[in-house]
Amino acid sequence: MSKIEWQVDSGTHVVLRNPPFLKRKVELNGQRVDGEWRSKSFGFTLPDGRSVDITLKADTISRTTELSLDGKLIPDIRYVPKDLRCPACKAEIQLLDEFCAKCGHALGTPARFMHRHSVQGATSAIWFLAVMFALFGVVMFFLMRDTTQTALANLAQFPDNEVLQPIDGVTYTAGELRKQVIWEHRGVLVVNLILAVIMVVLAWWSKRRALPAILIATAVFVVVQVTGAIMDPATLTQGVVVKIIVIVVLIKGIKGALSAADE
Amino acid sequence: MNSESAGASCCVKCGDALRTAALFCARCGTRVSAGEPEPQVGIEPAGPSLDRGHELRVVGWLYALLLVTSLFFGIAYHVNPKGDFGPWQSLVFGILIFAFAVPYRNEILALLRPATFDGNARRKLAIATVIQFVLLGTVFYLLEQTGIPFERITDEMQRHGYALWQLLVLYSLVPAVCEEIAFRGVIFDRLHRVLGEREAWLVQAALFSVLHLMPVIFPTHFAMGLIFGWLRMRTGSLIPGIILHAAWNAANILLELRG
Repeated sequence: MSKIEWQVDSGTHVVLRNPPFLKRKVELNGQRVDGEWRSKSFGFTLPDGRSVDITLKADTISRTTELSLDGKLIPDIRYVPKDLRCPACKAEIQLLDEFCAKCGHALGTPARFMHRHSVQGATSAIWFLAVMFALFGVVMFFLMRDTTQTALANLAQFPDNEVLQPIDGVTYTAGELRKQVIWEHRGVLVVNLILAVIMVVLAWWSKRRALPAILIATAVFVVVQVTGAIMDPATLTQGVVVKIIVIVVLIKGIKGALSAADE
Repeated sequence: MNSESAGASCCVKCGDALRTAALFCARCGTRVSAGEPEPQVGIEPAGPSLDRGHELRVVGWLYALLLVTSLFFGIAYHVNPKGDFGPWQSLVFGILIFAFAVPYRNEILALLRPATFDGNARRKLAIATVIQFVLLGTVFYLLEQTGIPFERITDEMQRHGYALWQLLVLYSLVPAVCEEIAFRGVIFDRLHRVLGEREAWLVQAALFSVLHLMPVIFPTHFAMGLIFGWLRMRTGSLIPGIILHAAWNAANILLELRG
């Protein structure tokens, strides 16, 4: 991102301009701040004596830019609602307030908005999975139905108790195989609809209690991938980018919910 | 002190400037008139020595290793469908679970003491047995009537010439002991510290059900996880859960063998 803004309080607005191939620039209330970047970190002091540090962080998952004020992490404006109000009494509050000045309600640190953002991302990922499971189930049901009809037509010549040639080392009678074939396309639909319903319930629950809901959603998603890989190991690499993105978003959601619970 | 509050009076506790008409200090929560800190509404005490992240990582690692084991043996069956991997899978599961239980051996051993299987535990076990066998037995019977093909675990073992007692040990007793120690022991206790009792109960049941790797039976196994978890919570013992779990597995094996 080439421009990041922090509205620390009503009189302190910090902007980091980070254009590609050009020099980074830090502005305080529209005025450029002089100073030097040291190992991806820039420090300066506000007129009232508070110290500000901007740090560029990167790991294998993502890149983040953090601003801390006297050691306290401040979320940038993307994370902070425009109209800040106390959740208990709805009185106006400021980003740095840890307690509501009107009712005394404990608000937590400003970083709570970043945690909430991670949790909302995970909730969106759970909704996405619900939709994907439902769509996949319906599409596969119709795609597999024709194959099922052909297989049943081929099996029609055998009586129920006739033992067929082994498939993958397992011997079936015609009746057993018929039963399994009939359930092939229905099973895909039923299983995916069950998963979609589970995800809808978890997405709804995550609005109330984020941590347990995201934990279960992560477990369900990983288990579904493992089950698919056991049935057909080739599925392990299919859509691997989307799978990694979903897992990263869910894990960030768990971390966000955990941090929010720790506050 | 920020620019909004400059020039105002200060908090008696932290010295931060107070807002106009403020009843509490926005920094430390002290009531302006009394000078006493206000109880922190909405903040759940985390406990001084509790590392929630560590507790969740333990659960995550145990669960991930159990899943990787399932994946490994699943692929082994895929490569060699006639292979005799059942006992090895049980052995690896057992080693993993006991290895994770070692750091918490005092907690786990306390839950396995014969003294915990008292009159109360026996009564709760009787109630849970009736609920599980009547309710879930009916659900499984109805599922079978729909024609859903369920995997018969006994077929493979019979192919390899295992006797009934070996089937009962490998598919009834060993899974019951290992899964109860893992889910109602290690995992439940860790989650309890992070989420509280009710949510730990729900999450361990969900983790237990999805680890069976069959989405069709997620709801029924979730209910089973809730019943075993309820026994653990209400009796403070793993023994009733192990007995019910083993009895349920044994009943399924015997029903399968009966055809």
